[in-house]
Amino acid sequence: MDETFRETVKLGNNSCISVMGKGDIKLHMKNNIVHTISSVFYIPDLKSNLISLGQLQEKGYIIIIQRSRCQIQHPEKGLIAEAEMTSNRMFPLHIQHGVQKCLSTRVQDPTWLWHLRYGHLSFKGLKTLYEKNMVEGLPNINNPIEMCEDCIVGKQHRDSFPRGKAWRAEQRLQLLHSDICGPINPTSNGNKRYFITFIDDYSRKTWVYFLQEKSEAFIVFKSFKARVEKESGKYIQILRTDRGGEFNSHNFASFCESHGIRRQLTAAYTPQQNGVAERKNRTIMNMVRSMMVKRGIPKTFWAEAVNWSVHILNRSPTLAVKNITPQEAWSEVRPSVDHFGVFGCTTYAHVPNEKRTKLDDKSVKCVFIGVSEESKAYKLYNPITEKIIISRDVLFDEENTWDWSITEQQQTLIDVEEDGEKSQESESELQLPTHSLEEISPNPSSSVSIPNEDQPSVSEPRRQRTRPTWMIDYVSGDELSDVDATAHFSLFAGSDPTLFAEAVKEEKWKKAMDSEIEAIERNKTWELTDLPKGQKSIGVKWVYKTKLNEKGEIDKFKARLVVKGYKQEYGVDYQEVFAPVARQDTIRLVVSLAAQNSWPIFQLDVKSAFLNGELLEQVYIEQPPGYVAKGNEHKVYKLKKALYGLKQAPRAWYRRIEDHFEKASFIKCPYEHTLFIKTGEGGKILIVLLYVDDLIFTGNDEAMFSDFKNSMMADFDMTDLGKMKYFLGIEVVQTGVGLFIGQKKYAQEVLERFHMENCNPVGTPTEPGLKLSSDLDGERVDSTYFKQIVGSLNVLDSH
Amino acid sequence: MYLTATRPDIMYAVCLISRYMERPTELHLKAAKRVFRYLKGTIDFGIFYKKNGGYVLIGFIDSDYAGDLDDRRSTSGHVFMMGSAAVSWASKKQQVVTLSTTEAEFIAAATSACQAIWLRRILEELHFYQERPTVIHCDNSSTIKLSKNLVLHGRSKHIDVRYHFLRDLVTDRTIDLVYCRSEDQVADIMTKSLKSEAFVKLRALLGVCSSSVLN
Repeated sequence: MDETFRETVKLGNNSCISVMGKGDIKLHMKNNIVHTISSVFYIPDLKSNLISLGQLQEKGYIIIIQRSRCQIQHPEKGLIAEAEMTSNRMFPLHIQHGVQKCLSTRVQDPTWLWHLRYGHLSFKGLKTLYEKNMVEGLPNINNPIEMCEDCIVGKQHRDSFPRGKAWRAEQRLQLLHSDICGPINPTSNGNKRYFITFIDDYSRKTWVYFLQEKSEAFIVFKSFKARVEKESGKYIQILRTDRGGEFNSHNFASFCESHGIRRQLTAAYTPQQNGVAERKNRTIMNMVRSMMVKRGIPKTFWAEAVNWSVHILNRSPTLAVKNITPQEAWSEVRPSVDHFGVFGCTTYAHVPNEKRTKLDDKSVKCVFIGVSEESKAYKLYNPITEKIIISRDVLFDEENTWDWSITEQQQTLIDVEEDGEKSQESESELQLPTHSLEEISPNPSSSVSIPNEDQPSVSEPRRQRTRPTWMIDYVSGDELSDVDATAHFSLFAGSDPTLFAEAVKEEKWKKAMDSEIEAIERNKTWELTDLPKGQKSIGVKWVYKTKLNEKGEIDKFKARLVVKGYKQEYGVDYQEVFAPVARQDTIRLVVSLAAQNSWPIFQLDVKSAFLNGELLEQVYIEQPPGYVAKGNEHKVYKLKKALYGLKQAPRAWYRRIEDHFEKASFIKCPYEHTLFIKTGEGGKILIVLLYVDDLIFTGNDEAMFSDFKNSMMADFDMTDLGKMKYFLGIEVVQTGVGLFIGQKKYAQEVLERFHMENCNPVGTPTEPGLKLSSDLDGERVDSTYFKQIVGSLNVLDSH
Repeated sequence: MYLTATRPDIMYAVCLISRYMERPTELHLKAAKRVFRYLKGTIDFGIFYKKNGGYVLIGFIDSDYAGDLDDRRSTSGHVFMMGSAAVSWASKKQQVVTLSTTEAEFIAAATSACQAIWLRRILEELHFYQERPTVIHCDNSSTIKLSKNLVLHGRSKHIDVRYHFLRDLVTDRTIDLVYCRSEDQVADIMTKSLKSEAFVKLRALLGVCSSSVLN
């Protein structure tokens, strides 16, 4: 980087910020290719990195922005980057730049490695473990010269109080120490704030449970009691705790009494009497701090760290039991430690064959956070998917640490994303929000559900959308942190106003409303009158919409006055509401006949069709907000023609156009009321099919086409769409050999809506031979979501 | 418009999953996902109406037998073709339980006969008269025999009414039930989960193909 380079950059608000350097940035791609972006300005004051599309195109790259996606293409290599538009119309491109790495070599020394693996246990302790052969799988330990910085940060303490000699239990469970530690800030991933330890005085083995509230201590104690008594065949005789309310409740006392457990409560405010438990808490927390400092693990993982510390401590020497570890004293089996890893180190979990395709990565990068309680497997955390993985096939990279700063940033963005867009997809799996708590373990053979005490629980499913493999290098899309989102939001046009009070402040919306009122007046829609006695007037409101053209540019600002039709009463304000629409079968029949005869099909669109409908009923509406006639504020409008929102508007429009066709000597098909046919001499024919305000027409005579079009144009405000290309979402291609109808665009939208756009295709829509039943025992899924899927594919025939 | 507007090939699958909208389970969701996965591979598919295909309406009807595992009702399917491609189709679970395949096919035939009448009338209005009875292909010869034969069976009323209705239409030559081999039965695609080979064959017969045919 050339740090001498100086320049200034002008921002949108005319302020300048200075460029502190210029250089090249290397981007690491997954396939180990390193791309370089040259002449990058280093601007320390700028929060986000900006990439200039203008310069990219100068260098010969092709930039395509369409369908909310921005693609950058290299003329030879093809697509190199893609970004999805966020809600505030930004295109964030997330790239991984090469991080300069300084490797620490000291972990390669077994002494240090085991110091780390053993949660920063003292070297003396490690030596004891080895010399007395207390565990299996530990190498010889030499006392190093250097000091472990993390140990000092985590364990420095005040000088100790003198200790009295205490009575010791003679067998397991004779005496139990217990204490609660907390509240710990922040809460753990599983929303726990406390942990409770139980220490068996005889073996000094420790058990830990996590609590949300102190009051849960009683429930935990009951399950703990059941567990250890079953395991050891002995009974808890004495429980020593402090006088915390959680141990002192009536329930707790009566439970102990009925189970013959003697209580030993410390004197008030004298925690020293509960020395064993208090000391253990300190040991645990020291270890946790050291482990977490070392690996820069987010504090919310404290519960996992506590769990792992207890696991280690049960396999560490303690002064209280001689020559064996607490685990051995408890279970009489010498524990093995060859499964130990450094807490928080990087690991690679094998992805089982069932879960991946040939070219997928064979492993996922995770963080080691302990061993599973239920199965003989490691417990790993995948910071990308934010899931716990239980896997047996793990490779450790104990030298390296996950870069949590990146992940944390992503965490925030996922939270942001959830508001707008729910479930994300993983591969072709489409899951429902209701299953959010089910974790998918990549290894079904060794998968278990997560132990209850602490799961990085997940308020909502966080699924990863898989991109095409060549896109994996780029993190693109909605991944703006909330701060960024608000910061950038002001740069862009916001959404359309919903209230008149908002819209009236802006000139563009005022103009839009003016032109709507003008159109209504021109159309002779209403007249100002007094409200007759016994009549009610209906409210009106404005709705606003920014219309975009097919390129996504702003076309116009449209304000529409709508009647609050839901306030209309049947029989009073309206009679008939039914307006026929063409059936799909009829549309296809007409299209098919036109294709066979090589007849062209044309399309017209009636603008503001409903405003053409003439009303039979007496309908009075209030004066629209912002357009109340001065001096006539009490008056109302009597509607002569329909407005949008009126219940009878579609019917009135249909009646109007039906009338038009009748006058133009069309014959209405008695079996399909939206099909109108006109014949001329010599077999001339014109067929018109109406679908609310869209219509298509075909036939065999040019003159009839132009006559019809002209008469429509004369009577209504029309848009001539030329040859039929896109009708009701159906794409139509008319060629010399025939006519093709398809719904590619709609199908693509549906796939994207349900996050299936990257799924693996199959050859048939149902599994061959598949028969379904109501599957009463099956796992329920969200029926609303399911209905949305079915509804997007088909609307059920009601006839 | 909904996707089935141009995709008769997914009609049966959609009809099938739509039965479980009230109480869907993972199983049903999996079936729904399968439809999406099929769409993914056939996203540019649609119907191609060829020039000069002819104006004669041809029908196909089919029914499975007691295919719904819960209530043992059968599924009717019909397809009407004009020239090279399908113009009208349906897949629907029958409203009544039938006692034999013949009865199930009968119900399907009666339903499709109603549609045939309606399509014939529309075509007539459009000045494409159907001069001959509309041929409806059926792969159950007993059904065909029953529709032509005056022999009455001791059937319950709901079958009986349809029986008379269909027979009347055959007698006044509005429709003509004709036998076809099962493998040529296009309406099979509306009633069963077919194997890939059969599916692809029938899909082509429906006129459903990729938009690349135009290039």
